[in-house]
Amino acid sequence: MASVSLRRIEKDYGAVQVIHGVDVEIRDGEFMALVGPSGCGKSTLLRMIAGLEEITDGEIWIGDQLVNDLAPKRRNIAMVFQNYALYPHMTVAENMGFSMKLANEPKQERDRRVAAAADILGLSELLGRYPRQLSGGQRQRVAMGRAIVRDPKVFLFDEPLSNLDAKLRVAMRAEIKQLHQRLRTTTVFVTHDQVEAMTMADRIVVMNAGRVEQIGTPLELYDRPDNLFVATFIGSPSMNRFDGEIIQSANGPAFRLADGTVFALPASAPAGQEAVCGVRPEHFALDDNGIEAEVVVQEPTGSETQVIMRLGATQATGLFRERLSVEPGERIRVSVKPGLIHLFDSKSGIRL
Amino acid sequence: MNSVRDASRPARRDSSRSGVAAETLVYYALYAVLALVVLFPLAWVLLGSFKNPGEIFAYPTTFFPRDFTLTNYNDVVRRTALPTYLYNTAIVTVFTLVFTLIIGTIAAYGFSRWNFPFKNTTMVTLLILQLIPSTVNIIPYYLMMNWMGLLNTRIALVLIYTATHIPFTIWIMKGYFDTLPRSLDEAAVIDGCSMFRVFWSIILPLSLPGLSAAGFLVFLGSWSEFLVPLVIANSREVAVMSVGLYSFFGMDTTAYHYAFAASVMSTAPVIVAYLFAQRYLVSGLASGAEK
Repeated sequence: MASVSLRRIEKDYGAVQVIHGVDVEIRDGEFMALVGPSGCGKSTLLRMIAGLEEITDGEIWIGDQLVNDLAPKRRNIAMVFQNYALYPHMTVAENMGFSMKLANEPKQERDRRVAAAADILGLSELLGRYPRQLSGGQRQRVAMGRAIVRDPKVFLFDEPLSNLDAKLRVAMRAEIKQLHQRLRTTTVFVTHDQVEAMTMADRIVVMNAGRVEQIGTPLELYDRPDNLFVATFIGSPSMNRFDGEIIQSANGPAFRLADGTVFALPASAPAGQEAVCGVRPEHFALDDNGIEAEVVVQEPTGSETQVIMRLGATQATGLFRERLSVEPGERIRVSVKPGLIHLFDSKSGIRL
Repeated sequence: MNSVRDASRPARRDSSRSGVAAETLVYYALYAVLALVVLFPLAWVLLGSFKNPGEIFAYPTTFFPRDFTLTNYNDVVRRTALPTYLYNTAIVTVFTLVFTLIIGTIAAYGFSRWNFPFKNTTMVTLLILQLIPSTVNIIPYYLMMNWMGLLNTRIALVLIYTATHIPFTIWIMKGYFDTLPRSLDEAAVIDGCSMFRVFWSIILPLSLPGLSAAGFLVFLGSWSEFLVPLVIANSREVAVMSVGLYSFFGMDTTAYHYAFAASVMSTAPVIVAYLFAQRYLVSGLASGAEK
């Protein structure tokens, strides 16, 4: 196990810069997720840690070793690819033991470690099969087995669950998390799915356009997003955004939308400026004294009801624990506790 | 109203089914005619090789041999230089095959996996070179081989064949390598493979269909090339099969019975090579690498 340190990492392809001075410290044994929309540079960053992509500037440290110029095989890392990248002409056992074979490890030791990894992943019965004879989930496990056998300092996962169907993805999510809890190997996990990142990671790096937007624990990112991008990226359904201004009303600071709708704000809100107000869908509550909203669509999921509604001129999503029986066009009244409202600067998007 | 419409449906289905059957019949008849056009000359040569010289030109003409004989084969092997021609052809073909595939696949892997200046220009140039007919090159070949002192040697043929077959081998193999996911190379690099080991242990075993296709075309090309060996290496000691066969056709007489037997013997290895290559000419070897 080892920590991973990315210092002022830059990457450009000719005139196009794709990573702009990224600094990330990944602690020893930590499960770190890199998350962001497609093209934000998260996979490039992972491939740079792996040594599959050269860095233009900066330093990558694995443990106390600077690995900038080290070949991938010397970095003591293992990587699980999005498409598994299993060797089709090798059996499961050969796939898993290939790295040890290359390292000239004795066959006995090789077999022992392959068997141990297969045991952890429930692959013992499949060791003699070829990848084409396995299901998607089994292939995914073999890819992880290949990584485990190497006993690396760092596991790198490049969107390993994106090819699985929804049900299997949830199951594999739990398996990977369990595996990490068992092995405690430093893990860097790239995903574009924020739910995956939230549920699995100790900490998350949110990236956008080659820059780090925020680093923090899942709940830190959820509860105190540093900026509008993180606020709207993290959370599903995503945070509602209202444009307006902070005013000083008789009852203290309030947020006034362009159409005149007003939310109460905490006393600390800086009045007298234009801002963006963010409200998480589950922070709306049904309240007879609240603001009037027109129901556009109602989506019951059983455990909760998602309502798309129109608050003044703005469309918003609310998530209610109650089983609502409202029809489109009907009016409901909702309120938000002032302490649960997020405020962002309307120009920079930075949290106020 | 409904019942009328329902009653008409099965009839319409029947007529469309018989229409499809008739169409299929026409296609199969066409295939049969085409197969006959291709196979008839081959069958004529094969069956003729088992006839006596007199029967080949007998009237009325026989298709199947009246008196089945292996004498033509026996004579061709014992009384002509055919074994030497076969040996020369085999040597030249095997070396051409080995050199072409080694150079061609390594170059193709480079073209497939790395970007370098003028990569596309080089690929197009290779294609253009392939379009030049050997007739145009024959005098330069002769002069070069003469300058190197390689006229009337098998080495000359191997050199020329290898050079002429490398471009399309690169094109075929590059096309094949492009279909193999790069993540396989990357996984192997992380597992500890050197660049050559990735190629040897991962890429090459998965490329048997591509290698078979390219290998068979190289085999066919070098086995059946006529003009180059006729000009460059036509002495009896180094002559290859195609030139040897030509020698059966004399100014005054032609030993058709020998020519038929020799033709069959020279064609057989091509068929064997095809059957061998065909085992691997199936896609799907790389299945299971990805999702």
